[in-house]
Amino acid sequence: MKKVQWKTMRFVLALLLAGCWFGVPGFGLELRELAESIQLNADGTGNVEIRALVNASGSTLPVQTFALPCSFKDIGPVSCAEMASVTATVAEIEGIRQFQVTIPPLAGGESRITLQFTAKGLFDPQKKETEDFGTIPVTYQHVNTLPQRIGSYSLRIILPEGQAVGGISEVIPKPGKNDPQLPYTLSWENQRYTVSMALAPMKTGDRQLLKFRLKSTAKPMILLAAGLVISLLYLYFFRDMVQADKDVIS
Amino acid sequence: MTTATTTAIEADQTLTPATNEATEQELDELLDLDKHRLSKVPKKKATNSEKWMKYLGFPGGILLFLLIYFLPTPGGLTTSGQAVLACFGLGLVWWVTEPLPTYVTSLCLMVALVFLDGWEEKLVLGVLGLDVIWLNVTAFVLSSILVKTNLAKRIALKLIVRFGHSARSIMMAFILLQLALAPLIPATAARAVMTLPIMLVIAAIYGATSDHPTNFGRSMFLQNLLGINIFSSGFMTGSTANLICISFIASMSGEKVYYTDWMFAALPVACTTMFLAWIIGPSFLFPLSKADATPHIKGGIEALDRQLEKMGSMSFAEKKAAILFGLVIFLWVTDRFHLAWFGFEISAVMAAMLGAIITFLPRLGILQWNEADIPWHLMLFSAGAYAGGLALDHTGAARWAINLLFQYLHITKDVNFWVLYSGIIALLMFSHLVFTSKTMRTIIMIPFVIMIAKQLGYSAVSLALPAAFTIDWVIGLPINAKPNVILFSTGQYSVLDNMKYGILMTAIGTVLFIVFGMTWFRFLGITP
Repeated sequence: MKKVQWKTMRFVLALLLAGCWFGVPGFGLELRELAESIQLNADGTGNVEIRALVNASGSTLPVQTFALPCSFKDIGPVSCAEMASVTATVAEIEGIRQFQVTIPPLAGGESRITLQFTAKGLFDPQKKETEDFGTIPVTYQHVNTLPQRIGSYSLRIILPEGQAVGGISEVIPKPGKNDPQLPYTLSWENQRYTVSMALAPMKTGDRQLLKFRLKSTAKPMILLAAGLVISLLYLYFFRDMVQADKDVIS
Repeated sequence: MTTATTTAIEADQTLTPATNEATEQELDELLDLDKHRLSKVPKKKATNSEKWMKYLGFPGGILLFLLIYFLPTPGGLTTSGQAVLACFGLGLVWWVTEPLPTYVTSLCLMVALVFLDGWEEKLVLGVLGLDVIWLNVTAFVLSSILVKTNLAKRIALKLIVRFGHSARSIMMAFILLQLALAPLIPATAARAVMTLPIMLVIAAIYGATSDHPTNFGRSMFLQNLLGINIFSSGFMTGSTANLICISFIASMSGEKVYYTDWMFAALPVACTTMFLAWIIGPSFLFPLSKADATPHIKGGIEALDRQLEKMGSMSFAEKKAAILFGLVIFLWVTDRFHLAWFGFEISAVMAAMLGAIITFLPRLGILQWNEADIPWHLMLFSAGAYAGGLALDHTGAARWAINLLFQYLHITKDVNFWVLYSGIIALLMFSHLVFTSKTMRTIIMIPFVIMIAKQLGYSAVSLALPAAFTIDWVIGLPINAKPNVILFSTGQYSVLDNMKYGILMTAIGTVLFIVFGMTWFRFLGITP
């Protein structure tokens, strides 16, 4: 019990510290939208694109830096699609990782920033050998570690070619017993299976989690052959069932 | 229709051949329900068409399975969901055509779900511990006390002496009994169990047994199945699903539906349907021959009357059984007051379990364990059906199929209200064939209907309330609801018989809902 409390306190403290460290430069900045798109590759890496819509109308001073939550442990160089002058680095305090984004001075109005990078270790492709039914577990978690709320958050995970969602193992926030809609959406886009989620708004400390199993779309052809053979054998060996002089007792 | 009706009337006129005296021994033997134990799986001789169904059903089920399983996984579905759909398709074909006994099909389905990564093994196995299964087990124990103490025989004899001048009036008596019980006991399984032993005695009198099913048995048991389910739709408290529908309508549209709103609108549809079922069943689907419509008792009704007289006044054991059963019924009927009385609610299954405990108590109780007639093969059949149904829900496959259907319908503002109304009613009515839970069907479908109504600018009640009335219409297959499973255990009818009667009445009900929608519901202000 005490251990849990200490852990919680540490997390809150870290959030506050991170808020002080990263949040102050972006004081008055509103994060209206945050959309994460992860295109998974078969080797466990992923091409990530984070789109943010920030609004600085609440700020009295021009905003030059702001923070974004970072849910990735191992990432390559970050680039910005819109402006080459935008830079983003990752900093970590007490286990909380955030992007510190530097942009040209933004005095009022909205700005759309798109960060792109490659993330490693998003899943372990070797797990296929040890997991049931050759599935690979994938977990993605996003926590709003910012001192301000995120207007709307969305996540889109594009699966590697030849892989589909085997099953959804866990989702946070958990859907209610009588919720008419599931919190995630599965779709087929550009020849790839996609799983997406959305959350609006996302307050400080809010957590979103998606845990699912990757499974190959290839089906065991032995099953097809076995099904056909059993059917044919049945039709041959049980043909006496439909002969006029035979009675079938069930 | 004329020929069948005439045959039935002729049969009715021969009920009391005064020349024949029933031998008491013969009658006792006939009414001895120990011979018709539900736990004994009956052996039936298949007709020619049934033989062909069995023969082709086996490869047919496998082909359907392979077709669904080997199609590319649709975008909105997980591979587990696809596997579950394929397994459920296989199970559905095999349950209907019966190349294997229904309980073996259920076991195959459960194994396939696990082997194909459809549903987790512990969840599949856990289905046997669901409250539904427990309710079935305890309800069969309670049903056994009515048989053992002869209380069921007494009630059945009274019923047949009072209404037994024709086979049809007996069936009408059962329909009225189910109508009377529906507002009192929301648990449909409880209603099925209460009336089951009485049905068995009456079926035996008319010569319908599990070893020798007749059209009388088919009609009577299936009419009770229809009555139990359809009359639930007549009352807002008829089932939990009805209450969930009301809460969806209230929370998603802010429109409140009162008990009387529901009853005035839905009960006439239910009563009309049951009246039609009463005519159609024994006249067209299962026409009663002279032999079917005549009690197989020498001396006819008079002999039964004598038998009733011979039974004398109620024995101590019968009184004990009546009190015990009365206690359980009292708990079932008063479930909404439990919280105020006891500080907690006694569910239908706990009430039945309480009854079962008392039943087996030394001295105070009524039964020994060996005397309880529990059809375990039926529990396995139910477990398979529930595993398939729950897996469809858990993997999102059921939701995906319904979404797809609504997308396919492509409903826009240009669609006429009555076309939309008719489509929704038909979809809701027939969708029960692939669900094993009314609650799940409600949760998946009713919000869709409310959203469509709102998007197109109609009052949510105009579409969602008639849609809600259809939720209890779970009459097509033995796997669709608890009372269906319980009545199927009698072996008095096949899955195909159930399907024929159920689907025909579902179609008639759909037409009735459309006609009532255009007239009666409009008069009540439900539809525009």
